[in-house]
Amino acid sequence: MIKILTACGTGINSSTQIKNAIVKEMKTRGYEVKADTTVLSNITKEMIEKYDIFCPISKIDLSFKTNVPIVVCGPILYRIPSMAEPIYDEIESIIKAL
Amino acid sequence: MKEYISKDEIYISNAKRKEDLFKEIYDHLFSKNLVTEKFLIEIIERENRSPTGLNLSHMSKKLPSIAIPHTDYKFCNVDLVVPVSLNTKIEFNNMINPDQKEDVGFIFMILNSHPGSQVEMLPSIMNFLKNQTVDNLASFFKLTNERDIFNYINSRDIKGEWE
Repeated sequence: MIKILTACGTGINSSTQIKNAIVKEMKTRGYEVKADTTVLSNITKEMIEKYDIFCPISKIDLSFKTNVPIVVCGPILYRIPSMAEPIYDEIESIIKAL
Repeated sequence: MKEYISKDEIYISNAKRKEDLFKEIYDHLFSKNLVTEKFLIEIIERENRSPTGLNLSHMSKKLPSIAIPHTDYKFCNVDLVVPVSLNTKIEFNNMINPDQKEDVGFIFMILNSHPGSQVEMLPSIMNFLKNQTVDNLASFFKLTNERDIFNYINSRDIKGEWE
């Protein structure tokens, strides 16, 4: 089971959209993914490192170093396939390399 | 999206700064008990910390940027999308690249009163935008009175077009 953490400003609105979209798309591509959501400002190293991939809504300057791959997922929110595809592809390639 | 629109909560604003815009809309909303007293500081703080400007240039260069300001459900008493047309473009930071500035011409303020409600509101806005032709959307963003905005959304929004 692949574990993904999504994050946005309130930890509900955008991060839930991103979470649902990723889980659905990865299922279509044959991967079982479990995703949780959180608030960007709450992010800690310990929290991120419980996951395989970190998917924030926007570019983020973390105050710590981590080896967990980070994929900025904001464009998924537009619900336009051509904007979301490259992000799904990147997530899939990370999953394959895990 | 139309299920979240109230004809009484659509605004045209002459504000020239983000803070003034939020204050103006907050004054309306708070006077009707639709948001709590702390809503104003919370939404400003939240917008500064995690901005909500969205660029629509992938659809057309003719479209203004929009913003979808919102804050925690604890500060709202209703589930509503509040459309506000801006007579003067106001600078917001971009939601995906916070360093990037957007000249916003229209906002959809999201009020959500419990965590579950918010989840469908954002996609309903995005689907409304996506389901319009570029020309229609460009004229929608230029509408100058609340009734026209309400009528447009009510007649052109197709519920349940997604998933």
